[in-house]
Parts: sequence; structure tokens; C-alpha cells
Amino acid sequence: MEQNKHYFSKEQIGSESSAETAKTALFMNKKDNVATLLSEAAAGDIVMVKASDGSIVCITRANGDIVRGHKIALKNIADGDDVIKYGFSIGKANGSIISGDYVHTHNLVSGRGRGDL
Amino acid sequence: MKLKMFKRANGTFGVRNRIAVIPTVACVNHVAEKIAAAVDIADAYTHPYGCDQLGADLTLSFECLRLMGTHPNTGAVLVVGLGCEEILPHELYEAIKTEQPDTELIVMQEFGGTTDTVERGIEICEAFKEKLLKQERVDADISELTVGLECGGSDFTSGIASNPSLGKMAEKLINAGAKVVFGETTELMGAEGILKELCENEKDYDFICDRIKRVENTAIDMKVDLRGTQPSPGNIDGGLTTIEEKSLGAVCKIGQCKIVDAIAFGEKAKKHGGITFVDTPGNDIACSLGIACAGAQVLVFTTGRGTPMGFAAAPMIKVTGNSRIAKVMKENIDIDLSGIIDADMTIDEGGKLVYEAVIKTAEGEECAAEKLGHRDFSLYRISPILT
Repeated sequence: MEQNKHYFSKEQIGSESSAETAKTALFMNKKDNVATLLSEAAAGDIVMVKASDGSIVCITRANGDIVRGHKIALKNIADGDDVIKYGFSIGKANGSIISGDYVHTHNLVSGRGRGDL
Repeated sequence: MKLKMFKRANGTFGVRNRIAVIPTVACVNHVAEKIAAAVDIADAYTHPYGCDQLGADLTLSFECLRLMGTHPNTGAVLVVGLGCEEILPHELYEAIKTEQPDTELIVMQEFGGTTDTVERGIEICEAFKEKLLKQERVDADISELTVGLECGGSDFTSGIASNPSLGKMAEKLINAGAKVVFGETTELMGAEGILKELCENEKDYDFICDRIKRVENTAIDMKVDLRGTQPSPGNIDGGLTTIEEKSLGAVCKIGQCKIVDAIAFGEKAKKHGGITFVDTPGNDIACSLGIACAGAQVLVFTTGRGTPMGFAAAPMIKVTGNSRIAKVMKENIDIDLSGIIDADMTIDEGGKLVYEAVIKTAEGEECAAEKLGHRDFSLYRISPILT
């Protein structure tokens, strides 16, 4: 994961103080391309993505405001590609998603039980 | 491991010793409620049905009421009938009485009006109460205990904190010798990959997938978007975007337990040594009924958004991982696991807390829903009202 070009390295973030004020997101499985914000994030906020054992998986930046408990993209996800959480698909990207984007009903759709289609 | 429980005539053991006042039709609900309200250990098992039911739907309603009357937590039963309904009061009475000797029947069209029936019903329940209060708990092996897992009002905390803790609890209970059951078929849609890994037998995996597909096909046949209710508006506000995401969080509540059986709604769980799937809707009260019919004497319910619901036949322990709800609905919550998200509590510690609460509840400690009088009940209808 650390090699992903969309992640910020600790050096890129700069001083330790910015890392201390960083928001935290929880990452559930190594296959995931989204993580859950454990606090509210505003556009531009640095987000430290941690695994459940507390280790830092990667560091990214929120492209927009994200509500606590909602998801942030950790990679670019092309339109129609799977959004992965818990190691499994939770639906498809509806439009292209950029690393750091807020991921919710506006850009992620379920493929299950869709009698309306 | 031994637990203090109430021994029943049919050889089962209950964690509660209450009276079930069971109306056979909605028309007598008020009478059942008046009777139960007058006796502190009696609960009215009211429901909107009993009439205009046909075929498998009628059979299931009858069977569910029979299973409530013979449930291990039920110490005595009063069946209240009207006299012209399809759930035949005399038949239900006889069916319960074969396993539960302390069963009585009043049929209003044979006996009298509201006032007289309520008065007679209270007399019967007072006599039951006198007997039940004298009964003492005895040592029972933990293998006599069945625990039901549920989640409702889910949010992002459910899949991160409370459900994984339930998973640890379920593993501990199974290792100790108890049976564990779970349901909520709709909320497994998208979690098939995990179920495949956990099912010991391919036939059980096929059964679960078939039941998930039935729900999905019903939505497709009705030309509705399942997203209207799954996830619900509250789930979506709480960070769950799709049914797949909700399901993958929901399935965490079975942890790494092997699935050893898969049964239909209204069937009893038989197997130890793993978890049993029961085909129930995600709807909380219908799920509670399904897993109580499977034999669960204690229900453990995780909630991120918060819900006060309880169930008539079994104590329902409320667990949350959401710190806001743990404060706002404090009196409704038994176990606050928000420390997993906000502090340094581990999932193992969470699991241990819930496990200990289950044991205490099984031995008589009242949970929040019981203290507050939440003893809800309904039947689960599987066909539309045709007539």
C-alpha cells in the first residue's frame, strides 16, 4: 500500500505538528480502497489511515468535507470499478473517484436488489 | 460450566419464569393486554393477525405462537381466543399443554364479555404467579443455553466495534458449550464471500444463498430499489452507503464461528459446536421472533443508532459502539463499547464484557429493556392479506 503514488509520505506532510492534528481513518482489510473516518474531516485535512492494530497504513488528504463515520477513498477508483471495504466489494463507483474523495451515496451504488433498474 | 436456570416439564431450561398471555387473534389483543397489565410477571403476546390467514402463512403463525407457549423462558401460559378465528384457540391450547402443563384457555365467545374475561384471566395469572414465584433456579449445563445475535439501527460503529465484539463473544459461548443462532437474511446480501468460508457444509451455504436470492428477487419482482430500506435512511446517515457494506459489518457478529446448520423460520436450532443460521428478515421484531422460535433464551442486540426495543419471550441485551448513543440513550444501553473507537479498548475486551453480561443475564440479572418494560411481540406474516 505504501508504494501507492496517491498517498502522502510522512516527509510530504512536513512538520510533526501537522501529523499530530491529522484526522484518523480506520482501514479494515489490506484489499480495501476506502477507509472510515473516525472524526470529522474538512477539505485539505491530513488523514492518517490506521489498521485495527493501530499501525499507520498510509497518510492521505481529504479532498472535501467528510462526516465522522463516513468513507474516504485511498486510491483512484474508475467509474464502474468495485469499491472495497472489509476486503469485499460494497458496490461500484458511480463516476470516477479520486484518492482523498468523500465516498458515499453520491458516487457509490449498490448492485443488489435493484428492481427499479 | 453450570448456570442457574428454571427447569421445565419438557426438559428444557429457562432464564426467566414469566407468564405468556397469548391472543389467538388481534380482536382480543386489548383483553390480553388488560390481563397482562394487572400481573407483573405476565406479558401480552399481541399481534395483528390470527384471522384471514391461509396455507403456509397460517401454519407459521400457529407454530410461532406454539413455540412461544413452549419457550423455555415461559413458566405458564394463558391462551385467549375469540372463537371464530383461523388460529383455533382449542388447538393451540392443546398443542402448548402437551409440553407446558401450566396452560389455561379462555375463549370469549364461549365465556363472556371483556370485563368478565379480563377478570377471569387475571385470576388465572395470579394463580400461575403464586406457583412460579415459589420455583427456584437449579443447576443446568451451559449446553442448555441458546443465545441469539441481532443487530439493528446499524451505523459505522456496528461493523467496527460492537459486531466484532459479539463475534468474540459467540466464539467463547460456543467453546463453553452453548448454542448460538443468528438471522437477518437480507443483511447478509453482499457477505456471501465470508459465509462461504464459515459454512462447514456446502448445503448450508447453498441454503443461505438461496434465501438471500429470494429476498433480492422479491425486490426485483416488485420493481423496487432495495435501497429504500436497505440501508435505511438512518443507516445511510450513519455512514453505511450500500446493503453490501451493511451486510459485511453485520456478519462480523458471528466472528470466526463455523456455521454448522441453516434452518427455516419457525424451526428449532439443534446443533452445538458452531453457529446456526435462521432464515429471518432483518426487521428487528421479526428477527427476534425467528431466533426466539429457534430456542434463544437470551438475545444480544448491537445498535449504533440506538433502539429501545425488547422482546416478550427473552431478555435482549443492548450493545453499542457509538459514544453519542451511549450517552443520549444511556438508560437503554447495557454495554458501551465506544472505547474500541474512541479509546484503547480491544475487540477481545469488548467480547469478554458481552460474554459476561450474557452469563449474568441468563442467571437472572435484568437488562435495560426489561427494567424499562420493553417486552415487544409480533408475528411474522409471509403472505399478503387476501381476504
